[in-house]
Amino acid sequence: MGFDINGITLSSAAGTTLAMNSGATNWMAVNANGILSRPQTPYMWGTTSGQAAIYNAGGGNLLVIANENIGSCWNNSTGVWTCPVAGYYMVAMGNIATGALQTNSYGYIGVFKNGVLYGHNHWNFGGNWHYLSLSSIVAAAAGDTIVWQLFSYVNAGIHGAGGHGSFSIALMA
Amino acid sequence: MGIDIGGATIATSGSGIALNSALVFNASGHGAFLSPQGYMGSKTGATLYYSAVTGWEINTALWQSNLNTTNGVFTCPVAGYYAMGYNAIHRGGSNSPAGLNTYGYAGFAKNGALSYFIHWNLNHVTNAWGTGGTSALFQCAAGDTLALFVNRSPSPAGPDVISQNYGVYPDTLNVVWCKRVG
Repeated sequence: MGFDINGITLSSAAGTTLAMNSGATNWMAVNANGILSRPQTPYMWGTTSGQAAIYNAGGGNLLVIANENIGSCWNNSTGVWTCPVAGYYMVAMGNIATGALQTNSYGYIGVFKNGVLYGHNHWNFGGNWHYLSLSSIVAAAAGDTIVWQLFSYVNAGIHGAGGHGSFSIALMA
Repeated sequence: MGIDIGGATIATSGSGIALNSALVFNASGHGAFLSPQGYMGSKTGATLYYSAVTGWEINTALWQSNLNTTNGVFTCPVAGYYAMGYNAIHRGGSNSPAGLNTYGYAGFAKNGALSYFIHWNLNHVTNAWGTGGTSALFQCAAGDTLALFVNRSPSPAGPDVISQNYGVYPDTLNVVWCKRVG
């Protein structure tokens, strides 16, 4: 026997796991060991595969191609994540960056919420490729947008041909 | 209609459901905890690169709870697992500048004890910076503290770090965050 709250059920069909379901879709479960799972948590990870070796999107949104896109919050065509609910979102990327001449290369990677810079990091070095990473936690309302952009770069960008970095966003616990 | 269990509630929230008004699911089952239990911010406006031996001040918080913005010390409100991370650009290295050693270390501290060190040691090139940072997970009790330190003893930082004013760039180009994750 379970409880029905406006079509959403709390039940323990197996007798050991407390499950919250909407029809056949599980929203949340707590098993007999107290381990919580929420399989509908919005999430994406992807890469910039198929872009130029030195890729900056012309200062626009980085067009990351999602390999997983739970909740379909990420748009491959626009490089925009739209937050489905209010909450705290983990936003992380790692890649390598360089300049066209692989010398005196510099630029900035930023996470933008609703078009406003939220957090950023910088590379500035002489010669060849350099490791670049940025992680942040974005406090967002439902409908807010999150994008990655490069800015204030000079003939520089990240490695866009794939296999050299990754990007991910997830709604946090 | 909802359920009241000793004052704790399970109730509808739009087309979704809310558990004790704190864990809220929408109609697609996307659920979020609304309590922050952490922070994200940065140190802005300073010029001394090494200046975090007493704690990395986070005077610009984008959101926060339980954070002391004067020294960057976060106090865990409840027991649990906390993720912490930072990104920044670093300067300093062996024989940089010539004849001096300015390599450095950053570390997270739980209750003041440093752990999770990360190290940089860069060639001296004008205007060159080392991009980096690190992240870590902590198991904490309520009241435990977490903080970021840079070149604080006993990390074996270069002996000339402070005299040469090297370390982590302190103005805006740093991001520090912490969040309860379980």
